[in-house]
Amino acid sequence: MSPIAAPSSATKQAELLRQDGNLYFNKERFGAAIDAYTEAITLCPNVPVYWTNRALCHRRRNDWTKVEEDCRKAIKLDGSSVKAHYMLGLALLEREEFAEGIKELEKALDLGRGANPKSYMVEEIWQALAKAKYLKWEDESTKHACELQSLKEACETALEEKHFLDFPQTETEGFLDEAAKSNLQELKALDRVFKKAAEADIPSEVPDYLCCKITLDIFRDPVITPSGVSYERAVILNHLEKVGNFDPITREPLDESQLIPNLAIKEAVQAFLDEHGWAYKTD
Amino acid sequence: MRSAGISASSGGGGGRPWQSTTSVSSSGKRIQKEMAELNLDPPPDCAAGPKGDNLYHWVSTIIGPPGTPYEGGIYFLDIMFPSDYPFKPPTVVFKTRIYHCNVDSVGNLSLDILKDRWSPALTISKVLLAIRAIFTNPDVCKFFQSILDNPLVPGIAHLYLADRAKHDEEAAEWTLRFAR
Repeated sequence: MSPIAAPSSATKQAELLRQDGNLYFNKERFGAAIDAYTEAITLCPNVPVYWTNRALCHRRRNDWTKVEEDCRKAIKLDGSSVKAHYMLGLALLEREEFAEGIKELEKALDLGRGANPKSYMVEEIWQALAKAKYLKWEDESTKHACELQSLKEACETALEEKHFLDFPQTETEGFLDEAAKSNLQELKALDRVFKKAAEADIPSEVPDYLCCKITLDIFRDPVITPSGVSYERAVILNHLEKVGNFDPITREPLDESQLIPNLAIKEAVQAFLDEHGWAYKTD
Repeated sequence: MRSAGISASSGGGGGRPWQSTTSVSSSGKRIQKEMAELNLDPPPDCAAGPKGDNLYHWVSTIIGPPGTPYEGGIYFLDIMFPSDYPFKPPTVVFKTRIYHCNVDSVGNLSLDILKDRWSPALTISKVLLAIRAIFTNPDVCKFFQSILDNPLVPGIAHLYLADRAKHDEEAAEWTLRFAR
């Protein structure tokens, strides 16, 4: 049984209000659009699109608390709303709730890919997700770096105290030199150990074999050609359409039907990204 | 129990037109990647980078390779990227005058990889290497295959084949006059 028991005139009225809201939105009159959607919601509170549309207005006004409220309501009504999950994800990221935000964006991406894998929304969600994962990495690596720094300082102090206790000031000149030297060596060794520990958090380069030869960027959806070369799917399709029916590297004849997903590279990319969050940086 | 038919999750007519917020174009991203790579690992005797704020307009220099009549010359090139780069080749023009059968008097360069042999897997770095290679080995052969194709300056190509010493002497003099 549908919970919508309102008379059909209310449904119609709400639909008209939604259309008004859309018109206001297109003119960037977000306040007026919010009023129209709010009225539509009052008439028919169980239509998820009214909630997501209003959330979109709040988003444009950077009113993230309200974006979150409306999206949560929309998800309650329709758990498969791509837009609701997407905007909820964005709102959570705005609050620096990285883990939760990423979960919502991943949900949106799954749903979006299921509905229409080539839609521009999927690309947009992917971008947002990549950015979120980058921010999460940045957040974690900053904390990690602080931890290491204070631990390093504590170790250095401890070494110096040990040195002071082992070799009180009364010793002879030559002996002191020897002791200072060994202390210095210990400090250097300590420095090496901490540098090594920090390495994983330092952005470097993505290995060439995980990058498309055309985009020069890390793979997302790699496909392999009969020549054995892998390319980013969207980009090789673009090449076949715009440049010609040949493999860009080997120049062997190539047809769209010959492209095969390269799952091994895809998994290798995911493994690399899990280890090196900085590689999510998209610009 | 959800109000099917109005949900916008499948991109149906019920929802708002979705506005894209992606800012950097794919050509711009690719050019930025090439720029970073060139800074890190430039091809020998070559340099290249954006002229000013415009990412799509670069200048480049190539130093005349030793052992050629262009030795010691510094050649400036203008590089323009099309908006659908890398699916269309960049345009490369010599700004320094050069006596070479593949470069005409206004600096137009004829190079197969910048025309019908272009591939999006080529980069500016590879293009510069190819230009550097024609300093050493001018592309004279094509002249005999098709009169309409390379080289741009058949007179120079003829001299190159007929009297290499005289060609080199002339080219070296131009290097001295225009490229130092």
